[in-house]
Amino acid sequence: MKLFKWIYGIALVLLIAFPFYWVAISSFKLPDQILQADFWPKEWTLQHYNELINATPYLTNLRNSLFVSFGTMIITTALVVPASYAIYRMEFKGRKFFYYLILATFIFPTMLLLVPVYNLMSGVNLIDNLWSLIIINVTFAAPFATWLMSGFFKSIPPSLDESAAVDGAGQLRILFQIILPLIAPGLATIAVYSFVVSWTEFAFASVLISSEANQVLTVGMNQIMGQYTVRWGWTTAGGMLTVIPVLIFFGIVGKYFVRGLTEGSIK
Amino acid sequence: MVAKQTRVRKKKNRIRKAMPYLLVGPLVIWILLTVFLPLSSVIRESFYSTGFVGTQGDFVGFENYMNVFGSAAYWGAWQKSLLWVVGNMVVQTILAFSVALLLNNNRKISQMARTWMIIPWVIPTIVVAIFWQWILNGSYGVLNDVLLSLNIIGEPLNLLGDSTWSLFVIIFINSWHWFPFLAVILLAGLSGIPKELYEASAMDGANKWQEFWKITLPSLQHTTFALGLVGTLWMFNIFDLIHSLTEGGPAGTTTTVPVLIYQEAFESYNLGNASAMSVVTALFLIMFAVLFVRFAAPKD
Amino acid sequence: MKNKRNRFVWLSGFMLLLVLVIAGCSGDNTGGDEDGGDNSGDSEGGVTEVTLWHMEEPPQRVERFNQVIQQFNEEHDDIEVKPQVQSWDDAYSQFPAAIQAGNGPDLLFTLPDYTTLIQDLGVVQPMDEIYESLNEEHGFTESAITPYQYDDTTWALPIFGMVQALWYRADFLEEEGLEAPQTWEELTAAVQALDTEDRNGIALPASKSLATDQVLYTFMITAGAKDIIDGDNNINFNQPATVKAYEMYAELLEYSPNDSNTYTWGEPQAQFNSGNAAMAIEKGQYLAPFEEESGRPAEDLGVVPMPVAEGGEEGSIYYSNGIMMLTEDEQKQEAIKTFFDYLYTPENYAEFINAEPGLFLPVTESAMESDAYWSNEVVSQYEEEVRTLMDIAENGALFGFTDGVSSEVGQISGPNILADTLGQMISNGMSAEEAVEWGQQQMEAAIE
Repeated sequence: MKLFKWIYGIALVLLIAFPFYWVAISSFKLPDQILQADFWPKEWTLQHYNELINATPYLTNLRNSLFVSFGTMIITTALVVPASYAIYRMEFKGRKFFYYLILATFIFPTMLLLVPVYNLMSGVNLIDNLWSLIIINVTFAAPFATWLMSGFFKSIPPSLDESAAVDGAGQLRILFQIILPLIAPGLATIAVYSFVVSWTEFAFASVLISSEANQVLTVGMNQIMGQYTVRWGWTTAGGMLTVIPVLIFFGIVGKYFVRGLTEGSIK
Repeated sequence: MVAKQTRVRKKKNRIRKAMPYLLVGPLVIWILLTVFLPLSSVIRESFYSTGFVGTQGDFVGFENYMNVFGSAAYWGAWQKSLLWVVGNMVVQTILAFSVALLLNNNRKISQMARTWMIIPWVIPTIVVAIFWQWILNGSYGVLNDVLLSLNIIGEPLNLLGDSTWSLFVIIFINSWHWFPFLAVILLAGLSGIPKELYEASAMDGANKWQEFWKITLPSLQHTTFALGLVGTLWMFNIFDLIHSLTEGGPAGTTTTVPVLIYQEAFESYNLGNASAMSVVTALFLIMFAVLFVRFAAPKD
Repeated sequence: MKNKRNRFVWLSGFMLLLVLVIAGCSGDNTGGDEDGGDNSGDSEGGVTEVTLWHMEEPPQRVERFNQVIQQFNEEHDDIEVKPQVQSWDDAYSQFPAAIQAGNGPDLLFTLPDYTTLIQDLGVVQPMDEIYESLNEEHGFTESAITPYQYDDTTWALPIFGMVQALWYRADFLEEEGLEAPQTWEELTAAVQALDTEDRNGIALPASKSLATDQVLYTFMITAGAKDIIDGDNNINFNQPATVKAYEMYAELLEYSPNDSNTYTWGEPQAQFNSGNAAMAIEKGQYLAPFEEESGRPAEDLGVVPMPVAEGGEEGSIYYSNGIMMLTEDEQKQEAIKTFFDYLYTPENYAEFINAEPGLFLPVTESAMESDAYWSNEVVSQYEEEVRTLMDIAENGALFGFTDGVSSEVGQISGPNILADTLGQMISNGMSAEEAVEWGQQQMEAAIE
């Protein structure tokens, strides 16, 4: 049984890690060797990375992606925490209705909203503006984030806000001074969640942004892939360059994200 | 004096009453503006003969809906969508459950693995597509190379372009992308199960297998219910991975409903029909959600 | 409790840091936003802004276009042309919405069938005046301008042409003692002979894509079935010559790599350059990277016109890429005229289209005769090949534009019905006759 567990574990590690390994290793191979399936490059080269960073607006794309992702993260957190506090810890008319309304966002295929959202953004003059991406990413991150918060709120005994209420603390003060510190892991979780949603979004980023100066990474990546030529050197290097920032980010906050998820979520 | 106090109390009371709405309001308004407002324009378009995006069609009543209900392509896409959803749920459930059970302990390595295994989920779909296209490539993919050199196959496999296998291959790829996230959520559920339950059953002499069915699964019912609902909707609506890996091909074998809607709107230039398809699809999904909540919701 | 509070402090600090980072980012960013969002922006301090969208995404093309345009901007203080690269993927979803909402460009790159679609929006401006004066000076080639002239109007100016030909590895042919094929029989024979244990006879695209549409159409032309749809939108796809073309294509696919049905443009070229395929039918993009990617000398690359079937005619698909004018603003139109005068001057024009030497063929007589064009490194190295491509271009054709101009051809090219018909044969086991009949039905339904 124990042996089986180890074998299975190793197989899973391979399953998860091999694609990363293979793409990474390929991106360091010389152009004439990249099509050969060597598990270790005969010769290492940074050629693809050099060319990519010089010939494509990678750094601009990266900056834009970071801006959109952090923006989405802050706004999502700021909107979701009060809303979920109301939904999970307050009694009021229409509570269920609002809850389902927020969750209903799951139901609609996002790509069918492309054109109407485009028209909407253009109505408020936000086309080719990174804020349009933040706005729409918040929309898609918020429902699941709200839902994630349920476990965190439920794990706080109701007596806590009751006793605070007796003390005469205002509702907002209860939220900020007593509840918020208790749900800090939840905050971290939804913050990272919304960051990831935003970081990986592609369809709206390609539609709402028209100039190179405002392009984000996923769209830049799509252009590298190109339709007329297949350059696996660039494609794999580009893939790595898109993955690395998020790996670093995750290296720093991943622990809190996963711990938050496992401590708080749906029980 | 007394009157003033009551007024203050009344005012306080009003704020107290309004508070939940003030808290939930911003998010609700946000979502109404960015989802339900655009959605209303989709519903409107579904009654017009609009062709190319941007042009103005004529009002045609329910004609688009008749087209949709009579369309073999639409129902064919539903068949693929069902297969897609079921396939994803099965593969991901198996992978996620086994991983979660494997890592549900306090060993250091498990703690670390919990964090890093989620990496496939944090990379953009388009990069996932590149990863696997590169590995599975029918001419110089490493998988073919390994299989050929081990003499397991005699001819390179064209997995993504095979009309029998491509759907299963993209189900696998999508599962690779998503299962880590599900696994973490399941882990959350597992860590919430009181240890005493297991101790008690161990005293009764239950083996691991019985333990799983008698304790683990029932204790996870809230988690599995939520994942069943949200996961199904998520998987159903996945579009970009399929679009970038196969574009619905070969010969339509991976054309799920969202892919078909996209093609109808942006490749066949039939926005009216595409909108009607979207509305019908959304209605089916709502029906599913309602039924699922009614019949599968945990009883307590 | 203490632990929790610590974590909260930590988290708040982290959030604060993020806010700072974002503030920093957005500081840089607002400048960019204002530029981008401001599309109406004419005459700011007397400078007329003209936005130009093109869909040539590969970095070297973007860079070259930017260079030429920047040069123009530097020489003209009162005009600023702003090039923005877009994706063909968005051309059918985003552009119309953008144009409708007033966020569209002033100049938009196009293809003949895309022009017929965008025309429905009622924003494409006639360009006859600009055309007349440029034509007088530079002389547009007929195959390039014809697909943009109908209803007595010039709807776009051709900017470069692309044409398909049969590429072959001369060294492989020599090994087998073969001559470059001129007829379909010779082509089949050559492909069979060149197909060996570790090499494919040919590499053809067979995915549901425009790439496949294009190669298929070259087969249809040479089979004698180029008139798919006429000016009154009557469809004549289901005919013996079409069936013959599909049969031929399917037969050749047997000698193409087994994952051909995932191929678009890039893969056949990669196979060809890596020596995995001895032939390919594609446009001029094969010239420039050949030596570097194949590691073979230039003379190993051969090109001939697409072989012709018995009863067919010489020719190949010819794509005239053009530029449409979408602005009604007279000041901008004036600026655009100045820009085109500059752009079509042979020196500038040669630099512009040699962003992709061999692929982007000149569409003006003046450029074809100019040293500026022929002095390009790749073009001069492969002069003979480029001349072959130019000759082929004279017999070029494009479906929907062969027998009058079909206003509905976009409905056929958009869903890639030509390629889909092939898919029915290779993935769904239809015979060529059944598939072509199926294709005819699809087309009729599409233009309804």
